[in-house]
Amino acid sequence: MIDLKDFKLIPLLLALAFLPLAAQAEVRELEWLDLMPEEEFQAWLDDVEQIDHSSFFMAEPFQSFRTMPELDGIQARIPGFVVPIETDGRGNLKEFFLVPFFGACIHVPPPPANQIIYGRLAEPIPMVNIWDAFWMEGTLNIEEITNDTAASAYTMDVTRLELY
Amino acid sequence: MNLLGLAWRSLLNRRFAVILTVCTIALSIGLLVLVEQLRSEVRTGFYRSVSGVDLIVGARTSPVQLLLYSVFGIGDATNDISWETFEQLKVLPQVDWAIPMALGDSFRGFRVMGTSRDFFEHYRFGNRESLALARGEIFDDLFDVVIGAQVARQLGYELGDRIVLAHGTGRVALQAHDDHPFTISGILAPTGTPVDQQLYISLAAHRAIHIGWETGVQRPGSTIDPDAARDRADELRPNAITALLLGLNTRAAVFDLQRVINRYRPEALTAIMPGITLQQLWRITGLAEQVLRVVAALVVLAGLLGMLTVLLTTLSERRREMAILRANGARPWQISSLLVFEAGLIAAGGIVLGVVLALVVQSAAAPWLLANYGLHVGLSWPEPWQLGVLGIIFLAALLIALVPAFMAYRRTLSDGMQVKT
Repeated sequence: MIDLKDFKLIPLLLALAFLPLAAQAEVRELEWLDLMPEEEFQAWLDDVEQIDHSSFFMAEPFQSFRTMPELDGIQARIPGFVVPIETDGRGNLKEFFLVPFFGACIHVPPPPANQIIYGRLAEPIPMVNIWDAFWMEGTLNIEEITNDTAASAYTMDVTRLELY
Repeated sequence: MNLLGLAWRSLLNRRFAVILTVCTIALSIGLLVLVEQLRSEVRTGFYRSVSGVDLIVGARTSPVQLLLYSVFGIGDATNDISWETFEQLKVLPQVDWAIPMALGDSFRGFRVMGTSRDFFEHYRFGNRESLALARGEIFDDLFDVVIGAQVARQLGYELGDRIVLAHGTGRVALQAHDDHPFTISGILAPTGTPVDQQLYISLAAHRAIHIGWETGVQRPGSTIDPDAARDRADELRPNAITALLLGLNTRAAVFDLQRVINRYRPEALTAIMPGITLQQLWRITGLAEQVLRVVAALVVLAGLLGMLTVLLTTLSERRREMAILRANGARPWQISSLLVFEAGLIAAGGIVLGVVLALVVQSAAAPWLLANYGLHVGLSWPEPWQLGVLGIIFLAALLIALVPAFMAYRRTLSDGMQVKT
């Protein structure tokens, strides 16, 4: 026989279990440029000014692989557009890129690598519309992406994806 | 006897009109559910077919068209990619693997794809599942062919059978590659994707059967002898391929690489990200889907109005029935609720029957859709929100029934006892 009194303890235990989480879960709202180190931002600004839209030759994409180490592991919330990458077998969204703008003008380069976040959903969700902006919330991580260069990039274990 | 029992007996008494009404509602609900089920199943089928591909590359064309002809075998390419470009793309540092696709030939309506072993190794479908051979092995000899599960099942081919491929993609082949028969070396396990609908040969074989076709038709006497071709198998290369599937080392590089390919100067190319292009496709088909939805919703409305008509016309016939109920102590509100209960039974019957009907049609149409359009339609239960819509339709039926209920409420008081025959 299970005593009813045992059940009364469960909410208390649950609350105790989640207490550390609740204390940690102060979600920081980020802007895209927060993801880029200050000096790279300056270099980036200088670079953009040199793009010549009339040229036949491709504007060499400005690359910025440097990340902000202090952002590693924080709970963050950031708005952007979803570029679906991986779905489960039923067409639900599993992994995606979050980017600051959608449908770029074809003669400017894509955003630098530290302006893209690779989002992973623990539970696949129904496919979202790529033309809508979303708030993405979860744990931000920094991962090394290649061994030969010092490149790293942002990824996020996404807990929530909601319409902007 | 309670009201529900009474409503049931009363319906039985007028069974023909009632059955017809239930059928009308069932048909309309069936249409509504079927439209929605097929829509989501077709989308799922498309999503199943591309997994783990970062970029699809083809000649300069519309992204949707490139996606359709490369992965789904719908439509044809307008141009191809030169072999040199393929070799350059393949060795880019960002590229992990590259699957070449050389299209343009067919076998009894099924597409033949010239490809490399990378296809069997790197192609993924569904939830990142790999291709598997049900029987046999990947092509070993130059004139070996691996066939999809559906090709084997529908045409009844087995390992070791010899087949002759046709030039062009028509269902009936007038121009055949009959001097180079192929031997079936392997049969793929079913995937539920367009892979099942295709045959696979090596790129060298694709080249070999097209030697002598440089002028557009086969020039007599200029083709290569199968054995001579086998000797030269290592050096045989197609001049061009139709499309290319790329997997990258670093997914974050996809935006840059897409741009580099799209701006590649020596040749006009298009690189697409499948996830984005599928959504562009849904944007195009979305309009037709909305029209179908509106039509289905209007048909449901017509069904409900049909039920209202039946309830109203029988109202006057049932004056005597109501009078007897009143004489036995039934109150006016009980007569009214009797009518609402009846409507509820009709609507519930119609909805249940409609869902069953939709599922039956869906499972019956699935083999036909597969054989004719290469669309894999699975059987799935309506999603929660669809069940919600059905619930709203049920409530709407009850609301509509308030009209005869209100009329019955007023009439039973005034003329219920004075029916003249």
